[in-house]
Amino acid sequence: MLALNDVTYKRKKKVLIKDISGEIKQGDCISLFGPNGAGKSTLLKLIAGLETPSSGTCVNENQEKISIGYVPQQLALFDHMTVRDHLTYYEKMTKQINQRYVNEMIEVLGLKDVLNLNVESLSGGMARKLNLAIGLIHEPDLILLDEAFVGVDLATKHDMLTWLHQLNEQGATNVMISHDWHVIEHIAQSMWILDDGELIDRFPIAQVDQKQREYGYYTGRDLRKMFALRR
Amino acid sequence: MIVKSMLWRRSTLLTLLGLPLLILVVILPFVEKTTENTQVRIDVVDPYNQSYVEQMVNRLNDRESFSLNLNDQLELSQLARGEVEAIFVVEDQFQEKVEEGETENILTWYRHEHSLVDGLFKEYFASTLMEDIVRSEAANIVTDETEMATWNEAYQYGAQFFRPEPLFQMNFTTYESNTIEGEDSSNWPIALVWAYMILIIVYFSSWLYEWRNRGVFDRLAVFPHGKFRLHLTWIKNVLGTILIASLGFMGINEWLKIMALDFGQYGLLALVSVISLFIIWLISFFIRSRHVLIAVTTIYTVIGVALVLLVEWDMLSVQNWYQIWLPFWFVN
Repeated sequence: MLALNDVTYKRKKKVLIKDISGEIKQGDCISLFGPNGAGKSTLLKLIAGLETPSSGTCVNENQEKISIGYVPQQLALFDHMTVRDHLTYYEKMTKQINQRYVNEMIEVLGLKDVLNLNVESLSGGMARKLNLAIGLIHEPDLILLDEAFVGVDLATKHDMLTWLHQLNEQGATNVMISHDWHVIEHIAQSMWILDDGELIDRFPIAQVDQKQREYGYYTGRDLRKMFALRR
Repeated sequence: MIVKSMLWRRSTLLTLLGLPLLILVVILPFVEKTTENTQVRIDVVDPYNQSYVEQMVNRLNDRESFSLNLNDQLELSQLARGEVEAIFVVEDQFQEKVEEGETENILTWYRHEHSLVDGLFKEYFASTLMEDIVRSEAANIVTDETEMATWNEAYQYGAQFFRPEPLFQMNFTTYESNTIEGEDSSNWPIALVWAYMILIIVYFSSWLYEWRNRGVFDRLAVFPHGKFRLHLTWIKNVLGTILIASLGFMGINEWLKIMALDFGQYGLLALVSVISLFIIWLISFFIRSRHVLIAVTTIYTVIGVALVLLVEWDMLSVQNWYQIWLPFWFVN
């Protein structure tokens, strides 16, 4: 689907991404992992086309243009606008006409009861769900999630993961950044470990036990604690 | 939807409506007072409520330069308070005395030692009165000598001699100054209105920074023209607000006559405001911090308006490079 060929990205002479190569296949669900400042968000933006590589290429191997859904870490919402207005605005923007898909998404994410509420009156969890919903409103082929689950409770996480899982089963590709083991365990199929702008390893999620000992040095105490929660 | 979300904020309404209203409330009494101050205020006191005096006052009130008030009681303290420039008290049987040609003891003129321009009214009052007195006197003589004409006919006939053909005429040309001289060609108020437009644009620029910081632009960038469309919505919104504000200002100014402006100047205000909008929009791509943008714009605006003021007050001579300050474009 998407091939990264020796992608390097520099900003103000500082190298943020160093010679990353890799392939993202349709239906993949990749978790980008690494300590703060490792270059995860930058890599995600390069994949999304929001940044241009200083060298190397990020090539779409499909015959057709792939549609991308990008969910930023911040709540990228408009103040003083209702949930319904947000959905309508992005439907128009993306020319989405599949109302059945939109209604199902609203149902699964539990946004039905808050459609007429302003963004300011939403709880943190509901705002996160809306943040996710508008990123996925156009049924994207490639879903890019940048810490989309920060600060959400278990119920909210469940709703969001259910919908993402469903989309993944229908053929959508996910690339996500998350430090939440529940999220990684639930949907990730493979993990890319980044440190200091370099892709130091990638492996199937089944090998995570083995790899965590190896990369504990890079990923730090938080990862070990989080992995311990898993057991 | 986006426009509604931008406008439907308390701070937006306060900036767009509250501020001009506040300025209007502060300026309006000053403007009204200024208009009143151009008139010489005179009190005419008639303790006997004579209809002839009332007619005379109405005739005298035709002149815009004077503001006449008819009273039946003499209140000299008005002079001390500066409320009137002079007080004229008429005697009883005023009309009869005038028609009999009596020129003495028909009127008393009260003035304060600080009264300055009441003499103008005295001359005007006296000449109007003299016309009546002379015509009456002439009518008296005519009716004494002959019965061929009535008193009224003779009185009416006499009017033509007070509007005679001129003995000579002067050429008269209005001088329309294009230079900054006096209050009429003042440009600083329009520069202040432009500063208000800048305030509107800078206020709305906060959304650009908010959307950038929140990742809205990033989210939209993955859609075809998504980012551009949001920028376009912002531009249209601010453009509309500026044009409405310009029209509102034009309407209020034409109504209250705060400053003398022609349509070309209103157009120039709108044009300079639109240029300012595009400049601020463009520099918002390079200046990543909203606070820096506010600081840069404030410094630019203050210097620009200060230059206009200094030039208008003849404290600074005009230099070509001042044109880089947009408010300077209002200076002819």
